[in-house]
Amino acid sequence: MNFKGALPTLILESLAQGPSHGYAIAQSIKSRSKGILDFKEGTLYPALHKLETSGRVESYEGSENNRPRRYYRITKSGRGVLAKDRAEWRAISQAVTVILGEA
Amino acid sequence: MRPNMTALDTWLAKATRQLSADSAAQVRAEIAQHYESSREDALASGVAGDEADRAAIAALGDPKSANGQYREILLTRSEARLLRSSACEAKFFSATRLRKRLLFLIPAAAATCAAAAYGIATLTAPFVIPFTASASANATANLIARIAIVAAILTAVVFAVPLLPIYTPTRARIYRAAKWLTVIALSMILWDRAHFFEWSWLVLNCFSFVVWTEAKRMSLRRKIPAANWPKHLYL
Repeated sequence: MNFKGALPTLILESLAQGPSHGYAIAQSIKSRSKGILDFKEGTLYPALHKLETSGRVESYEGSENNRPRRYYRITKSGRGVLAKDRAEWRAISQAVTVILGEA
Repeated sequence: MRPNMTALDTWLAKATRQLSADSAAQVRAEIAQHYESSREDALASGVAGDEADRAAIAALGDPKSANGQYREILLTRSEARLLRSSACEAKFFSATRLRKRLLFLIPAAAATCAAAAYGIATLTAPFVIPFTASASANATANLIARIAIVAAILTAVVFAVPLLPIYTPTRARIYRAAKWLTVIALSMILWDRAHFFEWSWLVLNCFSFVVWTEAKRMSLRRKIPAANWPKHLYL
């Protein structure tokens, strides 16, 4: 499975639940996938920066346990992209299920 | 700094290779925050200190792979340098209204020079005897006229920029297309088949720098949100 290509969508999905910082996003993806989607966390931030540059997420300075943290939140454009990606993924997933079911 | 931060420092040194100072600082801050959270979670789950450090570093993955991805999205040293030098040039060219106007004297002078050289070449053409000194002078006048007209048009295109309303990505694209079409058209004027290979090293040297700069600018346009582009990045 090309998980790398799906990472931005998973990040957007995680941020659609509410603003969060990098570590929490990584943990959210891992826990919601029950550990199946176990990616290298160093690749999360380049994906986050790319989403930020394209205007799909925005970042702001916050703090957690009195420590500064960079938080990210999804933008309106990001929600639009997420809805489109979700629809595309469902279509692909259904098509693959049909094919594999036939085999 | 704790001694066990060394593994993180090594990871960060590899992951931030070739990144600009600002980009590297940003990466260091976010990865350090991530590492601390990861380490604390491991310690809270009962893992020993050293093992928690190793697990936090392992979770980050390959620093070289992260570096490749960071370099695709964050500014590198050479891009930051180009951005700074372009900003200085732009500041010089558009410092005052008078300077903006005075710069047009350069294309005007080049155009005058072209007209004069072309005039000399045209006037002396009927008297030219092949393979004589006058033929050589006539060819030189023609060449000077061509070079001067190319310089006039090129400098006019460049120096007109501060006076043009280029502040949207679409207008910037139109300007860049016009600029490159002009450069191609001007290259045709200068094209000299007879001496092409003789001068090809100079042409290749000049164009390789132009291509390198343009490639860096394209990369900068991709990395910086259009809303934050400095004026010179539109060009």
